[in-house]
Parts: sequence; C-alpha cells; structure tokens
Amino acid sequence: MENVKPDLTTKIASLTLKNPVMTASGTFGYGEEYADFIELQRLGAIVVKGLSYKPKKGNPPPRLIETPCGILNSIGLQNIGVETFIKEKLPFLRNLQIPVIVNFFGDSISEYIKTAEALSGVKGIDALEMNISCPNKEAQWCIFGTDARTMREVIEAVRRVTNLPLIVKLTPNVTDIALMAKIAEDSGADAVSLINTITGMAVDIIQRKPLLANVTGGLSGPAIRPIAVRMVWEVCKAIKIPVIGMGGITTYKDALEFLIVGAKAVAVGTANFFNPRATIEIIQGIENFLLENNISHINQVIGSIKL
Amino acid sequence: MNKFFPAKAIESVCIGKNFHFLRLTPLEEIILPIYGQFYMLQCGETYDPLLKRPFSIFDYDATYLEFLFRVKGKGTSLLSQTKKGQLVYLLGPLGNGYPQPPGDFIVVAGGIGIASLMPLLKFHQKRAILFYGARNSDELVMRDRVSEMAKHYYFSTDDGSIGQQGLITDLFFNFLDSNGNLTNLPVYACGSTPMLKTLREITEKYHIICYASVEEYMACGIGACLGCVIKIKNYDDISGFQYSRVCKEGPVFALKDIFW
Repeated sequence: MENVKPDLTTKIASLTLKNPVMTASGTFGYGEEYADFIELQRLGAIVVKGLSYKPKKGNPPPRLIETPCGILNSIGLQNIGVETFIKEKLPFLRNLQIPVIVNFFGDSISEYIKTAEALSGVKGIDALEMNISCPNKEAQWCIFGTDARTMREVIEAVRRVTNLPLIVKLTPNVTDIALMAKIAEDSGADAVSLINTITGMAVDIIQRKPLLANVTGGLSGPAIRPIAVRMVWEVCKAIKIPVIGMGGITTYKDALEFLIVGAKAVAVGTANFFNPRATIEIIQGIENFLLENNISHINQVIGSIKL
Repeated sequence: MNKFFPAKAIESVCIGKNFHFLRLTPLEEIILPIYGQFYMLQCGETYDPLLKRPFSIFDYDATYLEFLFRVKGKGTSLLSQTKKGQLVYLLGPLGNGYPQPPGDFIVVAGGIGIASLMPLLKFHQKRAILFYGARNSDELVMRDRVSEMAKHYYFSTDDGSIGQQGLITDLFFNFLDSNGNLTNLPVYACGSTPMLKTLREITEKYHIICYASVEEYMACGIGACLGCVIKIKNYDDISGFQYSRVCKEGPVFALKDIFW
C-alpha cells in the first residue's frame, strides 16, 4: 500500500482542527511562552490560561509540589483579565492562524455572563472553554461543576450570551461524570472537555503542615491518566456532542488511548512543563502510528475501542 | 540555536557528602547565558521525578556548562548519579540574571548560593569583595576556586572550622562598620531566606543597592505554570504586593523590592 500522509483533521463543533492535539488551559500560558521551543502553527488548537473578567492575583505560595508521577497545584487562577488579554496577548495568537480557544471562569453566574460577553464577537477568539471547577461565591463557595443544578444554571446563562462554540470543561471530582456530561449537553454545550485536575493533598510530616499554602490542590500528570481515560470513555458513551480528552497525556500512545475510547481531540497539559516540545512530538507520533498501521484518517481511530 | 538541548557529561563528581559538580558539553550550538541565569535539568529517565530541576549556572563558555548543587532530594540524588559520557537534557538559559556591576562590587554567598554568584566573580576578576559563609568547612564548597577570583575574600562557618565563627551577615555587617567608604558598592547575594532577610536590614541601614537571587519550587521554568511566584512590593495594589515569577521576572530581584 502507498504511504500517503494520513489525514489528522478532526472537528469540534464548528471548529476544524488540522490535527487532534491541543494544549490544556493553564499549562501553556498565552502561547508566546512556548514560541522558543515549538512551531505553534503546528498545533491543532491553542487553549489559553483561564481568564476572569478582572485580573486575578492567585493563591499565596507554595503553589505547587511534585508527587509521584504528578504535580499538585493550587495556582488560584492567577490571570491578567479579559481586557489585557485582548489588548496584549490576542494579536500574537491571532497571527498563528490556528483555532484559539479561550478558557474562562467566574465566581458567580453574573461574572460568567460578563466574561463570556466580553470575549464574544472579538476577532481572533474561535471558541470558549468554560471552567466550572471553581467555587461559587453565591452558594457557600461550592464548586459549580459538582452540583447538577448550579451547573445547568451557569451553562444555560452563558449559552444565552454567546454564539461562539462553547466547550464545558468537566471536573472529575463528582460521583457520576457521565451524568454531568449529559447535563452539560442538555444545557447547551457544543462540546465537553475532561478531565480537569483531581483534588488532592500532600503533607509535610516533620512540620505536620500541608505542603501547599492553599492546603489542597489539583493533581495532574501521568499519575491521573487511567482515571481520565476511564472518565472520557464513560462520557463518550453517554453524550452525542464531541469530547476533548485530557489528563496526564505525555506521549502519542497516551493520546491514542483517549482517541480510541472516543475523544475527538486531546489536550496536552502537564507534559508541557517538563517537555516543552511534547505537543509536537505527540502530533508527529500519531501521524507515524497511522502511517505504520495503514490508517488513512484519524476518524478510523476515534471511538474504535473493541469491547 | 536551541533552548532545549542534550548535553554530554564530561565530569560528574561528588564533592564531600552533600554536593555534586557536573560539567556538560552541549551537543548543539547554544545561547550563551548571562550570570545569574539558570537551567532546568532533567533528573532521571522516568516520570518520577516528573519535573526538571532548576540550577544556576556555575561556570560556562561556548563549549561547556557547569553546575554545582546540593544533593537534597530525589531529583538531585538521581542527577548526582550521572555517569561520565551520559546525556543530560537541559532547558535554558532561563530567567533574568544579575545586572552588570559598574565597577567593584560585593558578593555575599550563603552555602550553595555561591553557585549562582560564581560567574560574576569569574567575569569580573579581582573586582569583588567576597563574603562566603556556610555551616562548616565541608560545606564551604569550591572556596579555593571562587576566592582566587575575588579582590578580597572573607569566610565564615557556623562551627568556626574555617574563617570566622558565626554568620556571614555578621561578618559583613562588622566589615561595613569599619569600612564606611565601601557602602557605595552594590551587593550581589544568594543564600537562605533568613540570610537574605538579615542582609536586607543591613543594606537598608547603609542604603546599599542589593540584588538577590531567590529560589522557589518550579514546574516549567519558562513562565507558563505560575507555580514559582514570590511576593514583590507593588504600592499600586491594595495589598501592597503582586506575585512575580521567579523563573521569568527573577530569579534576581532587587532585595528591597521583595515583600516579606
């Protein structure tokens, strides 16, 4: 058989990605941080650090600690805010000619609405990814994405104010992730992405103090990958909208696991921290895998799990 | 030229019980660092430890990069087992580095902090007055190599095994007390947080400019993760501070700007 370059094109709602590899929010800054290391134009899409309407200072240090095969972090959503992002960071991203997905969050439904409105209709923003793993100040600081009713309310509210493709990023800190994905779908999401970090804690046994100033943090990295694959699989079975899989993806083999269980695209997160070329190596790895196995289109891999 | 490259270990030696010296030859053309910059070094070949570790550049030219570090945890312990000929992956040079000294200057080093200050001494031979302190003579590592580059040098150890017994900041304070004419020289410092806090009191008292290199847990080293921040004074903010990244805005800060 002829060695034809395989087609890696995949679709997330109305977005067409030239390959299924994107970056995970919070691990890739605003893109420019990685320009010294990779050709950003080769990415399937770029997902930027989560934005709030106003700049946010973040949590006190220590903000991160390494655990076996993983990182526990509590950055506290430090960011420059919508206005500065649009003015100072977006022009660079727009020039890359790849889909730019802006992750955003709020601490109340009105904040979500305000932020989504401010990001909609701005040239160069191709989709929104909604982080619902943050606390709701109007409900005793409980997490939006762990309560079915609040989650529905906030997604519906954002859906009403934006025409951009809306990706809802699910938290894994729930009992039934498939149910939460279904709620996101019913509330108007165009796609879901998962998993966000898993809440964890680490202790200094000499001081008998938590190692993070914020006490708990989010666990990411290879340590969480099997949990993420399982959850992506469960979600893919439960909903019809596209799923973006993430959680500990470090090599092309990891990425293929997520695609095989049904994810239409994947996001690379923590791996960017210890290998700034991880995304590109994964794209190349997937392409080679397809070539070696005579697979002409990535669609033949997506959802091909044999049970 | 690449900022993420393999290098071959051409020297890898333990120094005493707690320190290790690594001399690497880059296998690609590299960007030359400036003094005070750092590199992230891969420790081991598995996902545990997952992250690279940040180390100040100790000495360098276009053909080699040297690192001197304390063997403290899992990462540094693995890195200290690097064999001659083995490949090590590095990311760098990273961070801002020290500003160029205008003329003569003072160096205050606490323990392994000397690693970050060595290039300043090397590229400004016989221009620095060096104050170098550690717990004991074993921990006053590489003292011959660094002191021969200084104009004058003073050692201190906690146990008095070499130099004056006591803290290096006490030695420095007494020195300023009796050499008032030297309070116009800028100070370059690297050491523990208690050392830097005392140094700030001293340098503020004498209105001396002091640049300090600081350390924090770090994931990426390139400004993306926001994990390595410290508090820097900012009077425009209601809290009086902002968070700045040690890897990007640092690791060198004006000591007076750090919010403690």
